[in-house]
Amino acid sequence: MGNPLRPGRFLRRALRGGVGRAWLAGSGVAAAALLALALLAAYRGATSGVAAYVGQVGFDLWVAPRRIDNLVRSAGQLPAGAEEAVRAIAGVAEVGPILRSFAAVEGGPAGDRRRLTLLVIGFRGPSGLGGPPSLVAGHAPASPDEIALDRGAAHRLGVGPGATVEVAGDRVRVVGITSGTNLLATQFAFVDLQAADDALGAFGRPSFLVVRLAPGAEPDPVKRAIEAQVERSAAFSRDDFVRNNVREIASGVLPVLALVTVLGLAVAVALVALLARGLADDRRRDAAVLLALGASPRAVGLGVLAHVEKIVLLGATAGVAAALAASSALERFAPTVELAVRWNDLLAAPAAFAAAAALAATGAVLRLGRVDPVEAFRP
Amino acid sequence: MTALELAGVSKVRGCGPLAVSALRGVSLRIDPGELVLLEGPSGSGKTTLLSVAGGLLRPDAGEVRVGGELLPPGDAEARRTVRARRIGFVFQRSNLLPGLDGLENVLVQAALAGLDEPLARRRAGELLDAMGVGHLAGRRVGGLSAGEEQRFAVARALVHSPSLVLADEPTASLDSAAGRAVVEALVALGRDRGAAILVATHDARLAPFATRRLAIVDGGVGPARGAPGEP
Ligand SMILES: Nc1ncnc2c1ncn2[C@@H]1O[C@H](COP(=O)(O)OP(=O)(O)O)[C@@H](O)[C@H]1O
Ligand SMILES: [Mg+2]
Repeated sequence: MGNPLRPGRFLRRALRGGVGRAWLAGSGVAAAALLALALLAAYRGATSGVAAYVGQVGFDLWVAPRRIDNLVRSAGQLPAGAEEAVRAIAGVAEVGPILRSFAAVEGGPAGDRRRLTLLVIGFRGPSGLGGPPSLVAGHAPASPDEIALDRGAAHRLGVGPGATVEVAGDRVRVVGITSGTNLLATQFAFVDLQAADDALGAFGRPSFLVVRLAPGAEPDPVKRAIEAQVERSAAFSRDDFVRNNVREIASGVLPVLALVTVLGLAVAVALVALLARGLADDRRRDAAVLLALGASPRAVGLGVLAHVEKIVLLGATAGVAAALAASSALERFAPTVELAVRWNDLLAAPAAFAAAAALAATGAVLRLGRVDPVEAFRP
Repeated sequence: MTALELAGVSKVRGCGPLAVSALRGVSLRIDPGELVLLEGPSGSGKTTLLSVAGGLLRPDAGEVRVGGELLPPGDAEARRTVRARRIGFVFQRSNLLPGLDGLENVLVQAALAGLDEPLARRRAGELLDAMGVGHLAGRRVGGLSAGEEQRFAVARALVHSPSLVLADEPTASLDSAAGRAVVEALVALGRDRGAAILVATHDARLAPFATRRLAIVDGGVGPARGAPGEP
């Protein structure tokens, strides 16, 4: 046979349901996909934010007080003199002390003052180790009365370069806006080390030291030397420290993300099941006719499944498009959250919905395949 | 070769206290080119007989052959294949698929029978023109009249050149003019193609078209009263 006419070509359309129901189910899937993708992108944004800061080129080692292994959720100080001790170790090229604290930052136009609690990093500005990973405007703080803010925080406070904000009651000038510094629950701000030390009463005891190794220096001997020289300290390679910080972000965000994603998927599955069930009821006679004419139960089932999957894939694709549009709109008009949309997430979402839909539609698919073809004779 | 042969076919419908012996040892043969009417009041077992003959129901006893080929009672898949390739169905309702246009409704049967696309399209076109509905081929079937729909259904039943056409009260939903047109077309086009046609009906106006008239009484099939050879 040259070119046989394939029944599948007709079965999907013969067994599809009303347009209204398809739209409702498709929109539900789109909304659920958008929800899941937006949450996932926010999570990715937060983890890539902390990784962008902690994992900067030149931050070869992190030195932390013993029992502290991350910057996001920790409080502790290294002993005074730690910086000098580390600098004296062979293989160390540069040391940057960091003083880390949470502080209330208040700012915005008179009459509309807003307040945010930010993760404030004191470092030896403007070019010492420990500064912001990237600046979208202005420069890093160079004196005690200057601050650089994450752009999401700046947007929410309603401030830009040149504005004055209060950090724990001290008035400082915004000189820079940073990006890749949004952790979803909080954002980074960067101030001069001395100002942070004065405000916190740290008396020269840093929270962390960032170490740049000399070219060719092996990290492990340097780590061991640091831990031997600096009392009650622990040194981490960049990768380990990044991993620890990502873990801290994930432990706060992932359970909620997973819950909401699962709920969104469940709602989509319920909608798809409803759609498939409606099809099984409405198209029962058409299925009986097709079976009477000689269609196989399998072909009838696949015809319904193809219709359901088409709607789900269209819906999920619309959700993907909406997620892309939302992230670029947010980026452009209200960069309060850093959405990092990944291609593999965009591909995985429709695949996940298609798989869930296949399960949701199984009952209806089997039911239509099992319709008694004799029903076609009913007047 | 006999187009349809039933030998000692029995069939009980329903179960338990509601069980009805619809067919009791029915034997009949229909040759290619014949148009046989199966008459009988409502509930007499006409639809049951057509369903068994079409392989949709399996007989409790007896054998069914279509175009000489046995419909194996234990093998629904094999019966389905025979149905798809060798049998055409016309129902009381047109049973066109509302998701497709008229032409596609005809092509569905051709596809199920495994016809090549050019052949299927050519035959469908010829049949629809012969039925006088060629100009409606591209239309969604929702907008057609009952008579037009039934003509598409007849084309669907003939497009794969079946050995046997089973029609269950094909005129019952039509007024007499439309019914007459449908049966005339079925007779002319079906005979041209050498199909045997078995029409279940209690429409007396179809009698002139029949080569033979059978009646189903108490689950048994015999010549109809008033038919040639009967008192
Ligand atoms: N699915 C069924 N379950 C139980 N009894 C049935 C079923 N279908 C048909 N019957 C019974 O079988 C007998 C024959 O029915 P049918 O073949 O539909 O007759 P006809 O087509 O001549 O009206 C009737 O008594 C009918 O009530
Ligand atoms: Mg009947």
